Amino acid sequence: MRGKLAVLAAATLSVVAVSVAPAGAAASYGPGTYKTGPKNADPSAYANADPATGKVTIFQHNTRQAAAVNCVGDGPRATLLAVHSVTDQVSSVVVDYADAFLSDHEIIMDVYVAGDKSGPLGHKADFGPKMHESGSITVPLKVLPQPGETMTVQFGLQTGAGCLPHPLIGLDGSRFVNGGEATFTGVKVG
Amino acid sequence: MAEKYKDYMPDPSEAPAIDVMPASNGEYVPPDPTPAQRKIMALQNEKIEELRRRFGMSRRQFVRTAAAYAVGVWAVDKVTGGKWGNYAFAQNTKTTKACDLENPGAQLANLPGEFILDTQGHALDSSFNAKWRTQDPGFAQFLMLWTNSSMGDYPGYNDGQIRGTGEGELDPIENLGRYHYFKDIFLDSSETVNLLTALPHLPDEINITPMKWAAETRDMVNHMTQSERCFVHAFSQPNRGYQGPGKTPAYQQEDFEWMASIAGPLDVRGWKLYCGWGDPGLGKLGGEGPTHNGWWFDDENGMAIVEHIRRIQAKTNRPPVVCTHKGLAFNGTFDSAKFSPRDMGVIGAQFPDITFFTYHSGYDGEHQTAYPGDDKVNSSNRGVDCFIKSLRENGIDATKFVPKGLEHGNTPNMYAELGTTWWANMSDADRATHLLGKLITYVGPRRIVLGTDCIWYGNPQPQFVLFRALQFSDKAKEFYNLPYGLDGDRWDPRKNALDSASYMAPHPNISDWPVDAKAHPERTIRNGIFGRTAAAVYGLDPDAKRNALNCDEVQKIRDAYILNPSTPKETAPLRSNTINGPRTKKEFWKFAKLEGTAR
Repeated sequence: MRGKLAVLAAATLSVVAVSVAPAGAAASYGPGTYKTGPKNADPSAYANADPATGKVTIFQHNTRQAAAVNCVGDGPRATLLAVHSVTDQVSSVVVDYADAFLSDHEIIMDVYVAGDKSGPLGHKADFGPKMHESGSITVPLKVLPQPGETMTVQFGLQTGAGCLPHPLIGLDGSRFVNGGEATFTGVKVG
Repeated sequence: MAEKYKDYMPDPSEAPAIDVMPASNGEYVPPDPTPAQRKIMALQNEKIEELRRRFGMSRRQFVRTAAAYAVGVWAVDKVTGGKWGNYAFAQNTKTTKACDLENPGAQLANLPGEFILDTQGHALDSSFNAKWRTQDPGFAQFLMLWTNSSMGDYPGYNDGQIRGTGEGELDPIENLGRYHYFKDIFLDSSETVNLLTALPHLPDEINITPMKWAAETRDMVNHMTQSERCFVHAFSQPNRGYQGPGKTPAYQQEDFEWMASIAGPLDVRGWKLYCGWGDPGLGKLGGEGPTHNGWWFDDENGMAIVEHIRRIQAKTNRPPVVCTHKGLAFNGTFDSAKFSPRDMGVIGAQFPDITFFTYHSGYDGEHQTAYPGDDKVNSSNRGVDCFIKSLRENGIDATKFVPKGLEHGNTPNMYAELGTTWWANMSDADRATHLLGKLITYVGPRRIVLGTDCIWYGNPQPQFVLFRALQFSDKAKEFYNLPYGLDGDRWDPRKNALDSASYMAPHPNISDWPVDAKAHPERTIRNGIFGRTAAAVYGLDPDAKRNALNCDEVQKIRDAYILNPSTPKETAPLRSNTINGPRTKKEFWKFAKLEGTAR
């Protein structure tokens, strides 16, 4: 009986040890810990990312004039960054969002993960339309960052430049206005 | 042949061989010519007059000679060449101060090592009973409004003569049909093999290049030549019968079954996709019109069609090739947002066993400079930089795949295609150099292919002549780490493929490096882009094709068609030398007025 108890105690300890180890490696980031990431917007567009609240907003009115076959412009992109110093193994990145309103399918919720030594680690996108939805984007890491490097999670909203309808055919190849807003409530690295 | 042709067609124009002045497709007022454009044309005109007198030729005769091309290249270089690139074969020569008339670069015969596989050839079923002409008439108007080959005055009767449009046909669509395809591609240019690629939409019977017609056209070419000078793509789409987000489109299964049924019998070498091609049917009921219900490669429709193509190409033992239009928004005709290349890196990384050709390399009319850096580029826009960014953010750009001991890499399975992109940038040597320099750096010296988008632009020869001539400046060579520019060996661009000294000893890092102490022009980056890179993907033997040229029927026709072949006086007497469509504000308003009458 004593032997069985010893085995049970050892097994319990090992389970506890196994469950504790990842918890030690995990990290969470949220509004207030974010930094501002890269941003784009030409005069027809608006892009803003607030690291204090995690709210990201993009908007554009597509009044750029289409040329013969071209539609040149710089559509809006606004991003935030969560910067993580890698100490233990990292195998997943999850970005949570709330109250996402994305007007249509071409509004992209984009997450890009890179290490300062390993380069690109993972990339994942989600699409509109979304009507005040909450959810998560889980980024599969194709390359695992090494301890000692700095891993940056870049997340936000983006879309391409749209133009006025074709001058003669007259269809609306771009919506007249579109955009999106979402609050990124947390980034979990584990 | 020439006399008979003259009975029916107007006199050929006297325009220079390389015409850089603004042209409108009739949709917009052409911009005023820039000082650079005016200067290029003035230089050409001056030199053409000087040289045609020296040769005792009329202007109309002279502008159809190889020398006229050389003059055009010289003029473009004189005005735009400098900081990053030059068009070099016509400068600093002893023959004249303007151009080297003995230069072979302007001639139709292929240069050493040159095999031209045009990865983006177009033509359409122009017959009056083609179903698309009655069931999809909007497409006819669309093509008439932007393709140079079909534009021009509306048909009419003028000065005692019946007047046609574009290249001279009374029916504007006929300018884009088989006859002009054969003439422009196989008679008026140096092309060796043409990939007749596909256009939207389904069902195939109302496609403007229906597969039965495309296969017949290919078979005609190959029968005439008794060699493989043409092969075909097929179009498909996963979103016909769009029913709204998250729902499988109504006709997806039917269309996938059709794909499987034709892949083998019609010898489909690759599938042409247009992510921005929305469905005009049920989409209206779903609240998302035809220009808003395109798809991304990384949504459920994109994944479904790529997996299906992988299955059917494996079953029919053909290369798993996916070609997709990215860039060139055609706003108002397509769902232009879905022509962003943002998903190319995603899909390339996800399907490493499939070869992807990104048509137009994502180009959408933007000015070409060096790649500005990841932080400055929004991959959701359209543009060459957005394509590069997409590869980089998914970890498959060429810089991640540099073999040990070398300094240049290649993406595993992604190719940059240059249809229209080269045409739009070739008239400025600096822009052209940046375009190619950054694609070589980030996509790879063995991952770029030259398509021409002809016959939409008529004869592709000006594109080939300028591509033969482009040279990187010393500054560009240093900036892009390409010490021999486009003449570098495409397996190791640090070696000059045109110098026999490069092939004296084994390469320490490349196992099958030639050691015959001869120059290897077939190994240059230039000749890779011209056709050898694409030939490797499609399993064609470029050297076998070159041998076959000597005995094929089209070559015989071309030999009879060209006067003084491979000499400074080489002349193609029927070459159109014409960019159609309004060239000035006055011409535009005349065109617009005529269009109103036609309607």
